[in-house]
Amino acid sequence: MWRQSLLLCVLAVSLFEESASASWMWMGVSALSTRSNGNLTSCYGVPGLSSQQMRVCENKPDLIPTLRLGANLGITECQRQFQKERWNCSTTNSSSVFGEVINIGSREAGFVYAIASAGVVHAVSRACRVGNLSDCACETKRKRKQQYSGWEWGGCNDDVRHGIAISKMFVDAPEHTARVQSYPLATAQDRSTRSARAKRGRYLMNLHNNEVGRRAVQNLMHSQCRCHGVSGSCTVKTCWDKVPHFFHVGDVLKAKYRDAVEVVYNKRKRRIKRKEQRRMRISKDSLVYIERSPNYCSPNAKLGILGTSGRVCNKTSEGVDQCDLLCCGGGYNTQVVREVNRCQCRFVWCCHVTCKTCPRIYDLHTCK
Amino acid sequence: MAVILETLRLRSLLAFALLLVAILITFFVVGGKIAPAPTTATSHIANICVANLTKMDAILDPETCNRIDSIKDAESDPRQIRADQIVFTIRFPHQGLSMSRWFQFVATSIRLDLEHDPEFHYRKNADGSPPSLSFKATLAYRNKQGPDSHDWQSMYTSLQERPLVCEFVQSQSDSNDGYYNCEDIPFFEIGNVYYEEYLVNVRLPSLVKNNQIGKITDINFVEIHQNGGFTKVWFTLKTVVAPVSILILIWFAQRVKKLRRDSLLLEKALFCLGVVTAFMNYIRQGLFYGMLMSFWVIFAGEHLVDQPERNNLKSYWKQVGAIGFGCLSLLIFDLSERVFWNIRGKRAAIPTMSRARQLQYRGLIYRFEFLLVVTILCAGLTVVFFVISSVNEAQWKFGEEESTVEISSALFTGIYGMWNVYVFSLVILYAPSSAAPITDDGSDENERLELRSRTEVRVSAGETEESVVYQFTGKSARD
Repeated sequence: MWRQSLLLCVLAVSLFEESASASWMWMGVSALSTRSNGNLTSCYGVPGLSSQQMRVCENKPDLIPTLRLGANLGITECQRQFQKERWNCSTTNSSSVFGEVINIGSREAGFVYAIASAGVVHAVSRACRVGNLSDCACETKRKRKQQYSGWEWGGCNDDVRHGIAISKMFVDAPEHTARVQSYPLATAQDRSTRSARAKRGRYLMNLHNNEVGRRAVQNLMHSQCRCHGVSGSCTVKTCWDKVPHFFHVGDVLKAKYRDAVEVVYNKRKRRIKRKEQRRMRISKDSLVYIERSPNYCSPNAKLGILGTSGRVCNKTSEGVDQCDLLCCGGGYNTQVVREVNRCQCRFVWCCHVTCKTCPRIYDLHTCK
Repeated sequence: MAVILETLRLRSLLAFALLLVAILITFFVVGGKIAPAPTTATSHIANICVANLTKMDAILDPETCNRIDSIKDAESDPRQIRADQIVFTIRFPHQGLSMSRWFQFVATSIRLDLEHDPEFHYRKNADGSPPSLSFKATLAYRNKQGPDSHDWQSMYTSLQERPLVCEFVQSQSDSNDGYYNCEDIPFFEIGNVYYEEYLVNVRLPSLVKNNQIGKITDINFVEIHQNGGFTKVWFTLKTVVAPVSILILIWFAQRVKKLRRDSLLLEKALFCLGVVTAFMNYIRQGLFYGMLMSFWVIFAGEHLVDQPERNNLKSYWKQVGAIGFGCLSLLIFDLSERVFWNIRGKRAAIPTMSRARQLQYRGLIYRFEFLLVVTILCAGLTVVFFVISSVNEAQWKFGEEESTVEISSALFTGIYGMWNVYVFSLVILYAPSSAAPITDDGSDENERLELRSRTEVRVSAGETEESVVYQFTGKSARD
């Protein structure tokens, strides 16, 4: 029974793998609709997981809710960061989560991979601190002190390290599997075809951007210290890592998105290189893309682009949500909206608010 | 009467110094390679439990309680959860681990995560002071295994009120959005870790209190304890050092006792220093540093040839009193400024003296300078090491591999070892020697000089250097 379903899954996996490699993030979308910590306790409903990802799910079932939360965190932050842009990180019901548009190696795709990878790091390190994961810090303790690595001897506090390890193991898996598979299988002719080359370039781009996401979390960590010597002197000082707020990670990655570097795949060296200034090394902290972004203005059903029609814009803004920019010069409708809002709320720190209602009248601009 | 330092041949002295260096290195290596870091901090995020309305004050365990994932879930919960039903629960250590009595102490702090919500602002008081957070905390313990296993038992309960200092960080993508960065609030400390597991329940009263703290999303909790491995290494070092130091002290005491005169103040001070150091192997360090400084003052004074009365603790009461305030750097400054140059000045005058007197002063100066250099070296190293350790700890380390030496542990054991080696080498080197000084030409004269130098009357402290030199030259002229 188990073996059969496993076989089925592997089959399904290999079918999906070709079309969209980002679909482990589907775990995050399904978590958006159902209540978190819902029923999905195995990976057998998730389309498009690679075989290595399936193995992670099988060996560490208690990791699944955390991976879902991580993907969810990444997607939610992506939508928050892009809420005012022409492409607003909208998700579709397809297994590729964002639609075919994610298969274009654009800077948007680069951002999505980075933020999802960062989301997993964040979610795993959080789950460790909450106590939801059983094998967190002590497991990834460096090898040198293995003989003494016990909790009693030296303690363990590598939550973020663990998050990074899990993210590397799970998020990078499809790219690694695909790369390994594509070489021995591909014939010489195959290897030279344009699509195969583009695919390999894309794998490298994804791996790079996943790492950028992880490094963004790591670079934003800062240590918090406390002294506890005799009468408050600092003879003994203990420090621990403070994990950044995920908004902060999103902000940093969004800035990297703006400064993303265009790269090309160098088939001889099997590496990606800058398109311009080829000699310059690609920084480990900058996002990369291999294709120009598609036009996000008009709807494109094939790519899953919704277009900006109907989007709310801001008439007076100077940013990208300004109506002329967002609507791609297509004009906008203005309607007067009368709304009832909560106001003058009484503050209770949790659970219930007692508010008055205040009417509000304002102009709502939407793209034509 | 000469001390061993003066009678020792250069070769033996070098061998002795090498031995000391070897011992010191051992201390550093034990700390850096065997011991783990001195302390560990473990981060927790509180689980959110919903208390049963009929048992509002019960101790809640995150594993068995009615858990919700977030405060947001409480808002949409059909059960109409009230704020006073929300209990933040933290169980330490994490699941599958157990506290150990080797941990010595536990210190904790909490930090709040606040979400930005236009309806619930974090508001400062009218005078600009931070709002106060009031919470009721309960600490409970249990033992999992063994004959004395039991369920959670309450240890303390306390209602606390603390200022909540937070700063708003605006999101770059949306100027209306952001989050709060709050400061850590010291929570509690436990002086001994007797039980296997501990549980903290935090309740935040609502309505009258906590109405300015904004919207809480999480309570972060950090638990700090001394590492068991560090405690074991530390105790082992002390166990090894203590009997050795006691043996050296006994040897010193017997040496002094064998003399046909009363023991000198310097010898008494040296003995006291040894006793205190031996005690430091058991007790705290404060006493040690106080005694060490007193010894320095006495030592400097006894070698200062410009004091009218010596060999009497009363003449040092000022200095010893000042040490009560304990200012190490001032003392070093004082030593090098006043004494060192004074002695240097005297050295220039030495060739003009008689041979016997020359020997006498050379011995004194040699003894003094030797100690001073070693002392300044040790004190300097201590300061440097503390600076290194605090810089070292404050950095978040990246990279594939961390350094393979536990620097802060090495500094702890190294400094401990250094002062032990320092004191006991002093005790050995400055113990009265039965042999005559190597360069001496007659023990009779030596003894006579000893007597004279001890009883010689000099100008009182506070005189200028010129007068000392004057006195000095006057004396050599008389000779």
